[in-house]
Order: sequence, then C-alpha cells, then structure tokens
Amino acid sequence: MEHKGDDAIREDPLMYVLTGEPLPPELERDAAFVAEYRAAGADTAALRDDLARIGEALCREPAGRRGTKGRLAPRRVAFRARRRWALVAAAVAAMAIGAVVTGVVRDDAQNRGAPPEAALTPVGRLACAEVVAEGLVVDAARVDGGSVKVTLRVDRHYKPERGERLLSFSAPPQPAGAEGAAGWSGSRLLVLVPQAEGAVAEVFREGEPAPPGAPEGGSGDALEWGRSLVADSLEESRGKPCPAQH
Amino acid sequence: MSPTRADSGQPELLDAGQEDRVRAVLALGGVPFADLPDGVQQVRLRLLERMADGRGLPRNVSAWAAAVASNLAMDWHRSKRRRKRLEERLGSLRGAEGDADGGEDVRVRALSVARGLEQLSDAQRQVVVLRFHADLSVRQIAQELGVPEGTVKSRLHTAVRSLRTVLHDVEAV
Repeated sequence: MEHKGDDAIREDPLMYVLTGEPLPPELERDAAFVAEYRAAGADTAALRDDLARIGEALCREPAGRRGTKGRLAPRRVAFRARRRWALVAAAVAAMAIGAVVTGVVRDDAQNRGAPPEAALTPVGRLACAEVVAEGLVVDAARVDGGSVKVTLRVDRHYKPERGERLLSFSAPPQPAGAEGAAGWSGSRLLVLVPQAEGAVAEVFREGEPAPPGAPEGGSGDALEWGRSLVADSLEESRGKPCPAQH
Repeated sequence: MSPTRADSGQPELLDAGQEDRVRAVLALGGVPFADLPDGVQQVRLRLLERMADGRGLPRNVSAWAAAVASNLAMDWHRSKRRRKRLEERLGSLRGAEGDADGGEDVRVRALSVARGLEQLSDAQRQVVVLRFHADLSVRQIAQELGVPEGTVKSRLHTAVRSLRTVLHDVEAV
C-alpha cells in the first residue's frame, strides 16, 4: 500500500530530509539517528544532482539531430496548440493584460542552478560553502548559459572571517530583460560560494522574496532570510564536513 | 511594462528560468525531446486560460508551472509506449556531451538513477521531480497537485527509498 500515513514514517531520518523539518532535540542527541539522517541527506543531494544531470541531458538536442548552433530545435507549435493559442489570446486581449502580466515575471533563479547542498539542512549548506560574505554588487553580467558573473564589494565576511575586498562568483541563471542581471548593480546581497569548483553560488539579494522553504513569519525578504540562516547556523557548521561530499 | 516575446509579440508569461525548469520537468516525466517545445507551450496556454477564466495568476507561478508540467508529462506518458521513452532517455544520457565535471562514475550513477526513475509509479516519479528538481516543498506539491501532504510524504518516502537502493547498489559495484 502506498499511503502509510504520517505516523508510520514520522521517525524515519529520511522523512526529516524529505520534508526539511529540523530534527527535534531528543533526536539530535541520538548519534545513530543523526548518522542516518546525514546519510539520507547526502543521498538526496546526490539524487538532486543526478536529476539535474538527467534533465539537462534530456533537454539537449539528441546527437544526430543537432543543428549548426543552439541547444534546442526550432520551436514547433502543433496546429491544435496554435489554434488554442489564438482563441485564448483573443480572450485575453480583452483584459488589461499588460498590468496583470507584470507580476508574473519574477525571478526564481535562486533555486535554479543551486548546488546539491541546497537539499541539505541550513548547517549543511553553510558547511558546504567555502565563502559566506555580504556586500554591494559592483558589477553583474549575464554570461553564456544565462548565469550571472557577479563582483561583490564585501563589507562583511562571515566565513572565513577575513578575506578579499572584492569577491567574484557565478550566480544562478537570471531571466533576460530589464529585471535581469543589469539591475543587480548597487544592490546588497549575501552569498554562499560553494566549495565545489565551478558550482553556482547561492544568493540572497535584498528586495527579492525569500526562497521556498524559508520559515513563515519572517519579513519575506531574501537577504533577511539569508542573514538569519547565517546567524542561526554558521557557528554550528564550523568544522563540520560538507555532507554532500561524504 | 511587461516583457514580450520577440518572435511573436505575445506576453512572456514564463521567464527563461521558469521555462528551463518546465522543460526539464517535462523531460524527466518522460516527454521526448521533440515534444518539449509543445509541452512548454501547453503550460503557457494553461496560464493564459487561467487568466482568461478570471482566476488570476497563481500565487507561485514557478510552482504552478512545474506542477502543470508534471501533470502534462503524466498525460503524455499514458498515451505513449513506455519502452520508447526509456530508450530515448538512456540514449540521451549516453550521448551526453560537455560533462566536464562528470566522469564515468557520475554518468553511470545518473544512468542508474534514470533506470530507477522508470521503476517508479507515475505518481511517485512526479513528486520526486517536483521535490528534487523543481525544488517545491512538500506543502507546495500537495497544494499544487491537490492531494494531502501525507500522500506526498508517503510517495516521496517510498520513491526515494527505492532510489537510494539504486545509489547504494552503484556505489557497491
């Protein structure tokens, strides 16, 4: 039977990883449970990595069909879909669509391209970060693949506690257009630069919504949430190995 | 002013990142490469239909789009032969290029996970993709799919336990 209900699996370490719920204090003192919990976290991080790899491979044009350039074939819209599009577009045309759609295009890139560590606990995410710092963006530009090359003037080093004044890293892909990378310059952000070479950093930018999974009741601002993540979990993460690498 | 799609003049309902995610969710759900553009278009149409119906925008467009894509993939799956999909998936992985950070071990593991995904039920595969690729929380998955959180947890637990076995088997080889 597929649905066993909460009770049967509530005390399973894997379930805490799946839901992202913090371990209760009594379970945190259970070494065997914590070991299982960490192993499950490492496995789900690997699974997340594999899914990204599989998804990327499946979205790539198969060998033998590849054109001279571009990773996707020209868009082919089936007749039925085109007809539906026309009908729906006609209906929507009667609405003040411009004003409505403005709210649609929101940046959810904080989740895309995030390293597998994102599947881990806050402590795990910080343990997997080589650099944790906050500052003002002095330059940001989209590069191939849509990711953003960011240069940050750091005014607060969290991990390590001292470092270079300027920090460069790759941020997750951003949408093209006015709200893209160009709008980052001058904004304040907190960044978790992963240990893994070439991996994309996790960014918490002021004025953006907190990422999914953020606890309710906060301000909802990404930077504020990033700061609370650091305040709550950085000390605990010090000296701990990155679960995704074990 | 809302951005518009340069080639059609249509409002750009999904940004580039959201489209990439929708495409991947469709692909992971079994939609073949050739049908991915249609699948993305279908998600856009659903969003337009929703707005035209007066239901307004989803509170979380990314989560909504991922869930719609996963449902489209399930519908597609029901109308196609499973075997063909498996062959395409594995063929794509074998032909993958640019895996500079991968190496043979990682590729073998990904292949095994792809096979593991095939062994899951459609409903299990759907929640795995939404949780670990689209980054939806358990609560968001439940809300978007209209099922109880307990059902999502149970499906996830069963599916991930199965996939962990695959991962461990690969490591043991």
